Amino acid sequence: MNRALLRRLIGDSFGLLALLTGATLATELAFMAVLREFSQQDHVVWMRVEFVQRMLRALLGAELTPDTSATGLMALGFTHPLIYAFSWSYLLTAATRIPAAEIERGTADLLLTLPVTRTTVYASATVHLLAACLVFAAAALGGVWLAEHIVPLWEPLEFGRLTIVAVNLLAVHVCVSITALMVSTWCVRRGAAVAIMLAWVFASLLLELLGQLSTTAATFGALGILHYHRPLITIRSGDWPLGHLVVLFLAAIAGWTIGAARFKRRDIPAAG
Amino acid sequence: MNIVETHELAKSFAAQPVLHGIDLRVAPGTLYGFLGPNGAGKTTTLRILLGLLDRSGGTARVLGCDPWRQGARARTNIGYLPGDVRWYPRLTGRATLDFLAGVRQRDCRRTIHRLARRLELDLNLPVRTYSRGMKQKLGIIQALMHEPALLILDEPATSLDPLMQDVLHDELRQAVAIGRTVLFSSHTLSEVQQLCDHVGILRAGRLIEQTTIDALRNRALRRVEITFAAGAAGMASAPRGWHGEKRGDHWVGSFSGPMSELLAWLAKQPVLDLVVTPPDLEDLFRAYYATPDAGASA
Repeated sequence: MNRALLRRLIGDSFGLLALLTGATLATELAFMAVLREFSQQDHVVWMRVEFVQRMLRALLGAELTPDTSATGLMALGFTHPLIYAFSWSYLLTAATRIPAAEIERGTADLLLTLPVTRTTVYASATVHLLAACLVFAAAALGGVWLAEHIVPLWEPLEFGRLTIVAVNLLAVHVCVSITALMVSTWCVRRGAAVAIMLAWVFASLLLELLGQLSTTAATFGALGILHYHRPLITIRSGDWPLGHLVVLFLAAIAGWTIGAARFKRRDIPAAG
Repeated sequence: MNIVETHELAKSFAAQPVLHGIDLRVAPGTLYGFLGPNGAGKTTTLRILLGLLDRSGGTARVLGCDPWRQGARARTNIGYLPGDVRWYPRLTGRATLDFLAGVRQRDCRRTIHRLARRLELDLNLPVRTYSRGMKQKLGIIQALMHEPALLILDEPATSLDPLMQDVLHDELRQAVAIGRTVLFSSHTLSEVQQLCDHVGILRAGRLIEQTTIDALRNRALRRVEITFAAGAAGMASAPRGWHGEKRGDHWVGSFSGPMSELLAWLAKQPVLDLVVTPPDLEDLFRAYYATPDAGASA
């Protein structure tokens, strides 16, 4: 890892990171404030709508029943599309910088002719991504913690269980960012790398939704990343989702290794 | 040992060969001009030497290292200016140089200050506000700031005004004077003629010539005009190496070969006037670029 390079990577996108972290915190706060306004009866009404039920089941991994605890309801705070949108928009942008965006804008000619190995450059980009993943997972949990103190729900939240969910979210973020980093090593344009990643995450969401309608689709669910983030099940059981964590981290390690090998061997073309 | 040495260096893109067995030799302390028309393969060769591209065949050594496998080690002592240098637009010139020096883990502030003054570049402005020439100056500073043993410059004088070109040439001469080596690509013949002591000429991915500028100059044609005393020209037979036309007592043509031979022949003739223009490498280069056999016959 090269410190000067890492400082530059963080410095270049610090404003965006701060903004999106703030947005994540605010979303958790707002979500909890909205939940507080609903009575138990209100929950029952909207949970009876089948489409909503299916959507929620796809996101949470289990059915939201009327007796779901306040902590269980907060599972939505870790799978809300806005939470994914904030974190992934940053992570995908950051992960596709090296090498795709650097090649596209021609700065790779400067960066990769410095006396650092490509592995060092790749490792520096990885450290930046891992730090950002940690920030977003912590922001989701921190937002809930903050909300608990500002707009508490009708019962105290179980933060031990929510921490497990946050760790699972961290694993999802790591897997998405490292996969994007790997995809980036095959591309010469950032747009192409981001498009591939967006296609994958949208396909994951679609697979989860279709899985609620068709058993055939459900069999392909394991190909999508959201299959490995089931916060409601985790909150209900209180157990670590070790199988999911292992899959996510192994996929990240495999992706990192493939990306590193590809980046080390690839030609760096001049910017078009 | 040569600072840069390639043997049978080849490169293909998607099975399309662009370099065909290049044997490049750049000795220490030389100012080597790498000439060729657009698309000849100059930039591709330089990118291989910098470890940006992997070769498809042959070998390459830069400062004793394989640029692909030991590139980081070699690049410690290389300064590189890309042909079309691009920057991080939001950084100032100074922040850019600080970042690059930071990655190199070198304190280059004194050299940066000196070069910025010589090139008259304000480093406190964001790079996005720089003109093309200013960006090129920033590129020159970043290539020279760590005082590398080898400078690889891809068309460095692009976008510089004549005064700044002089400053650049002076910096390069100074670098060579203290033992550094400069390899730069260009398609501006006058620049190479003025600056270099060695030259390599690339055409269609082949190194068709590699020699000293002096040797090349000796091979170049001198334009010669001779005016004989009235009626004397008819008796004179042309010397060896003369190509031209005889217009009565006025001969206009070119001469290839040692000047001493021409002078010895002229001494025996009733010459009224003589004009000899210096050898023009431009004609020679044009001949090299034009047809595959031209270089050999020139």
